[in-house]
Amino acid sequence: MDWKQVLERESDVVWVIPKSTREGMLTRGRIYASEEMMGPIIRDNVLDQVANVATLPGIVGDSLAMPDIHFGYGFPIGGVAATDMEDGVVSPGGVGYDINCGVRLLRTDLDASDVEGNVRDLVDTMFANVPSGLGSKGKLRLSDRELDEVMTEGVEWAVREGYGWEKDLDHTEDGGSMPGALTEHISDRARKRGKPQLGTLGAGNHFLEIQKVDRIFEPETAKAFGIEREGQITVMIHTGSRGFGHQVCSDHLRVMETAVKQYGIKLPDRQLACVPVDSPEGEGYIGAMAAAANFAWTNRQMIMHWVRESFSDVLGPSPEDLGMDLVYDLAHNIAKKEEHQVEGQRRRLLVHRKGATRAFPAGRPELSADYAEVGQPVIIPGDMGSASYLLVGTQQAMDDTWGSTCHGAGRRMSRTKSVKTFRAERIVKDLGNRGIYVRGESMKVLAEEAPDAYKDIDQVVDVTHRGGISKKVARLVPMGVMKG
Amino acid sequence: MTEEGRRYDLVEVTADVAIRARGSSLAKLYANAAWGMYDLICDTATVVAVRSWEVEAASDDLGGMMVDFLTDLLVLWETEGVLASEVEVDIPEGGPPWHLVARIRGEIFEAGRHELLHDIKAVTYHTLEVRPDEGWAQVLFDI
Repeated sequence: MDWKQVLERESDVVWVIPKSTREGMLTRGRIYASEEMMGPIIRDNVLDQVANVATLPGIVGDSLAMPDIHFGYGFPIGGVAATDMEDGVVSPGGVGYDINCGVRLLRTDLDASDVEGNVRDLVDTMFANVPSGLGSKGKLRLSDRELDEVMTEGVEWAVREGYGWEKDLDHTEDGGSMPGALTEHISDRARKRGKPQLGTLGAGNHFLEIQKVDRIFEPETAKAFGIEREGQITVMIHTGSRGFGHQVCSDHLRVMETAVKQYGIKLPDRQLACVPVDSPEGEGYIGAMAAAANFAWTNRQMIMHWVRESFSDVLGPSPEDLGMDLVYDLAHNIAKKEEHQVEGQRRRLLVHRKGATRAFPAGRPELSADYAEVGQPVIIPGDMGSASYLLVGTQQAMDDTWGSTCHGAGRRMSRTKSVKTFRAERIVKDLGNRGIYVRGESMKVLAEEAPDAYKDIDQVVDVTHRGGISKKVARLVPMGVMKG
Repeated sequence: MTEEGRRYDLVEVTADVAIRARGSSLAKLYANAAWGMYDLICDTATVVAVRSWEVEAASDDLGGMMVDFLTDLLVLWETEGVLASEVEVDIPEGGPPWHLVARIRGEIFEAGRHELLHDIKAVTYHTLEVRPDEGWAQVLFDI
């Protein structure tokens, strides 16, 4: 398809695929991207996937794509789609295998000058305290009963077991505990895959990063989030539900593969398999997804606890005295039951965000009291060489994208090509020359994760800012990186 | 290895990895796809065939059976640490329904002795094709 002919321009950063473009589309496609980014997006064949999502039964509003969009399986990565809770579908492909892959940001009272001589030591200590890497296993051996508690309670379980603080719950999306987890829909295989992996970072694009605040755009909002000055130290954690979530998704996709035919749903891509939200298969998946989401929140909570301990081990004062408060934790692979305004009426929707982040404005009941008048912190991790961002949710996101924005830089180069193009030793050296200490378990993973394999995070965030679906609060740059 | 002798090729995709397995029979296609997956997980040159395991899969459609078969091997790797250096597959003619029996030979992962290369999250249905008539099958892995 000649997408250049098909696309209509709505504004300088919004493009539309008309509903009439392809048979079966029930709604438009709507893409956030600058003119410069559109060329690679077209070449990536990803607009076909945006159009495919527009065929999902019961889709409400547009099939949306965020500026970090790239080719996924079924849904594009960076895709957002809302379906009606009464006559729409749920699609595991709209969540992804890494259910509740997400990111959390910690603030500290420290300044860059306080840790400059200690970055290596901090990263190495985190490396020792947080299991990571290919095939990594966790430090604790969970019983089946404990795993059930993790699935149903999430971060509440972790805090009760001594991992972190009560107030961490307030600064975690859904309080770190999505209601409605159905453990009977979790297979023995998922349990077996998941049990040894709770409290592990994993590999690939997952990381721990010591950062400093490079620039503050909105001082008042930043202050409300605990970011007070340039040079202040923050820590970012990016990981998900590990093998547990992967198996939950695999198991339920297999069920839906068969069920989709029984419900008479015709799809342009097998990976989009879906069933009605209120069907037994749909309810089973949503309950299992909630269990996996809770596993992921618990995973990040435990890792954060060990990060706090690592800082305390190296620097001396307790995590409390270092001011290591959680700014926020959010999911960027998830489907959420939410209330939204649709043509003047309140409707209950299932919002699929696959490689997209919730970006709610001030006033939403989901936010904790201290963020109620500011809006939700939105954390956008970059790649290891560049920057990450702290943004804030907006009313315009509510109106235009079901309260959603981008989730990261997004890949632009395949892993196979990255390994052929970049040498890990060189990456480590180059970043070292720029004052960034990188430690990775696997040199091959480092080469795959080369900074140049990713889109420019500044451009991606700029589009969400100009499009109004989230606003820049602070830019964070890495000082030390731990990769799995 | 000669061009004819290659078991599979890697296919470029932006964020994940796909393989195109080759094979003159249905059984070879499945076996070579499994080889491809093990080569993504680890350096199979470091794996010695000291034990064997048997895996079965059945399905009405060849694509579904490919996903089931490779997912079984993936679970065996993640839960029991089974890495393989040899894969033999038997699929009796006459399907659908199809039935597959695989015997894999290898050993349990040992850190330091085996080099791991990728965490495979899942075997996907995306762009999945099994084309015995043309001698190839394509599988995309979520990495």
